[in-house]
Amino acid sequence: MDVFITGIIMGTFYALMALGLSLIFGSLKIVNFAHGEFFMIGAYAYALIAINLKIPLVFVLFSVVFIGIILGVTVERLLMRPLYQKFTEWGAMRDEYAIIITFGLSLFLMNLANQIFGPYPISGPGLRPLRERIMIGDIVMMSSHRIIAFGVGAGVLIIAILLVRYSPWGKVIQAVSQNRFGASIAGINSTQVSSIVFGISGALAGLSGALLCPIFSAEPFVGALPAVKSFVIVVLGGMGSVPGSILGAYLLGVFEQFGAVYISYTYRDTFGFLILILVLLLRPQGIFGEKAREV
Amino acid sequence: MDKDAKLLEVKGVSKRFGGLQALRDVSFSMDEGELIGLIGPNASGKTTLLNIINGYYPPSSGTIYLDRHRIDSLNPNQVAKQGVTRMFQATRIFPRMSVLENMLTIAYAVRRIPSRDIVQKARKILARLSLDDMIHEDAGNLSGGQRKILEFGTCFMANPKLVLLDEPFAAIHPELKGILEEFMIAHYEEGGTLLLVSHDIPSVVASCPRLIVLNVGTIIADGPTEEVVKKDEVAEAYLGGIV
Amino acid sequence: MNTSIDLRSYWKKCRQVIEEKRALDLIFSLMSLLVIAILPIFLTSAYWHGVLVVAMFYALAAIGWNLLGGYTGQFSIAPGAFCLIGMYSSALLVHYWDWNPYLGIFMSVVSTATIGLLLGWICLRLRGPYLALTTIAFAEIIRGVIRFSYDITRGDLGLSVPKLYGSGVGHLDYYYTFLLVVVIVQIFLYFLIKSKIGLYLQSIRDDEVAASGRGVNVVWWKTFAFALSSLICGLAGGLYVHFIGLASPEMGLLMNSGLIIGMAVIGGMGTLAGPLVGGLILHPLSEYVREFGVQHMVVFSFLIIVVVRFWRAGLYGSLKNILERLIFHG
Repeated sequence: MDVFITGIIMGTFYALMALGLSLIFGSLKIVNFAHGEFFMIGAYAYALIAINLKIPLVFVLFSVVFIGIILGVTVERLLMRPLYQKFTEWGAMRDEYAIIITFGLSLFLMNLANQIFGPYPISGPGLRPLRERIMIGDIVMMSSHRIIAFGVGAGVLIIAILLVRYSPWGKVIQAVSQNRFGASIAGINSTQVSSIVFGISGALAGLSGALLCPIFSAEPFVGALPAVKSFVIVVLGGMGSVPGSILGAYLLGVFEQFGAVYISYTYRDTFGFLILILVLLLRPQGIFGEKAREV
Repeated sequence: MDKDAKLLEVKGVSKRFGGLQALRDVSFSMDEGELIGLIGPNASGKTTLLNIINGYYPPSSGTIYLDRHRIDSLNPNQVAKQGVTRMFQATRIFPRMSVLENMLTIAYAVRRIPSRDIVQKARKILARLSLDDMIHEDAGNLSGGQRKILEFGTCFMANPKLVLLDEPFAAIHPELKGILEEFMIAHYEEGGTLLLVSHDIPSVVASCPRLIVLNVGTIIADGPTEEVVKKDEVAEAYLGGIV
Repeated sequence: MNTSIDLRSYWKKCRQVIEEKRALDLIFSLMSLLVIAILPIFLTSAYWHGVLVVAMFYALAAIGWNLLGGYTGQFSIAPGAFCLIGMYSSALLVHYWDWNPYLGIFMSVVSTATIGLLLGWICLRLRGPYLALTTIAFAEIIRGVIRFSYDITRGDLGLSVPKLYGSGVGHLDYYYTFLLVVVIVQIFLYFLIKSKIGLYLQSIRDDEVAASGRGVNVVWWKTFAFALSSLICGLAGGLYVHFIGLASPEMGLLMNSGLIIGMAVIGGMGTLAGPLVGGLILHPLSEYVREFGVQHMVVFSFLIIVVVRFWRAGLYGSLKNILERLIFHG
């Protein structure tokens, strides 16, 4: 039973990561390979701010979200502009441009962190002392930090989903995702939307990194695994589908925990990759996605 | 070839995309040496029909024969090797290859003319189309109109049995349009077979002896041009008359 | 009168060079490799010989990736994985069954070509990010399998293998072996790209749909590109493992693939000499930068970003444009 609950908890964090990626793919049709590094930067930001400034942890979390937004928007402004310009040298190869540049960005951020902070992990303070445990009902005993982190994460997730669905900004994002050209005719500034989407993505991933920092520590390569998992989730749920990614996140969270306990611990990640390939081969649109027509 | 065998036979072709019926029981045939205009309002299925003939997707039902070979289940490259060339509505050329290389690719790929003649033929066609001074220029550096002409030129490189032209005259300078029309008529007069899809009604009516009209996926008229343009259904389909 | 005839024949010669545009790439490659060939006369440090051997390894891997990514437009992020397969194919055969290392390298080539075919088949209907993700997944599965099959491969500890030329001290044997292989591969690729196969591959990169409609068997040639590209990476890996003497899963890290791709991109994607230039310049550069305590990957990945964002043609690509303009305009 507590395996299941752990799965749900992890699933929430995965969902935060996957949501951002899904929004980017939906509105820009690209995969952000540096997504894991937003997570990593969130983790470092949390750890460093919390350790060096003695302010309540709530404010630290807010700062991390703020930093995440700035990071996302900066990346979009500096690097993603050529995606919308038709007559750059990359022309028809915009997909490939996005792949290389986000991959390069990922390598850069990882190694920059390595250069500046060194390879040793920095651990941030838990929202509650890490050894503290809480009883849930009569059955389960769980670290209270995890519970609170889960609460924060789930709360933010729900807010984010509601924003995307019902707020005016969210509707604009949906419009651009469905038909970029049509949206621009309707007067929507799609480059602004791209900035917003990247900003949200950075904030959510950064928050995820911050919440998990006390557990997994901040180190230069900590973002690699969450990134990969996000890719698997987003592909599984259907690229660009928000409900798909959320569902996929929880599915992965739960199955992973069961798999780790009952099947094999070492090959756990390899299974994830295998699932990715199988989904891409057999049902590339994922659970909720749409097939695209070519000619 | 015996007189009864048609070059192209489209029999009962229907195509469904999910909930959308794009083509419904389309049948017609073309003789060798015919120039047929295919017209119809937007979303009538013209491009879908061309895509199916080309092999980009199979029909949901029906068959297509080219020179008595069945081609409806072939891949586009196999259909091309049978002698069908296609010009796309949104110009498709290979931007990072030179003009010459664009012409050569199709010729080597379909293998319908001897290798030693290929480069020469490419130069000849390019000269007729006034592109020979750009021969080594990357196709991506060409203007929109020049790209269209290049794509047009590739259709005639490899001894085609059937040329499918999808809106070749759309959105280009009248001068360039003249070059294309001239080339097209010349090919026709030498015995080539062409299917011309166009919204430019006056032009189609002027050059094509036979007209097929498509509306909402079905053929509503098929016959000599003078007769077809007088039909009520055709005028109705275009909401306000054509000629 | 005499001078005008001379000028005219000179001009004709220039035009021929223009017509055979890609000959420029080959000439440049061969000249660079000639420089590499005579370099040991001036540069006698064994350390730097070793660095250049590794540089040639990376150049070879970059050349292999460039065929798939730069010429055929399939951006696989798995070149490192194929170098890895090449390394272990030979390493395992030599270590456990006492195979001759030359035969081992031959098997590297065979196995990577086959597995490359497999990956090509998997990726046939995939584009852009889907293709990239699949190749990442593929690479990680392979690396995982090799790492975790501890009993066979000794996992992260690595598998030691005899070197190709025994345990002598100097690196010059390897230096000229790698050089020879690079020369042969470059010449081979020159003829390949110049041929109709080169036309097919590039047409697939430029517009797969149109290529298909113009008679190119996209399925066949995509698969071919995957197989040949992987083969070249595997060859590089096979040679490398018998130079270093150790097969380690680190070669399969995605960061390493990023390095290889980076060299091709910075050098000039889609040109014959670009990846060669990338590998030969960037690897020694990264070794040099290490002396200043700077992580070479930081500089590297920064360069990748800058080149891709502002300078798509890359080092050699830009040089080529300048050279072509000089020749073309007299």
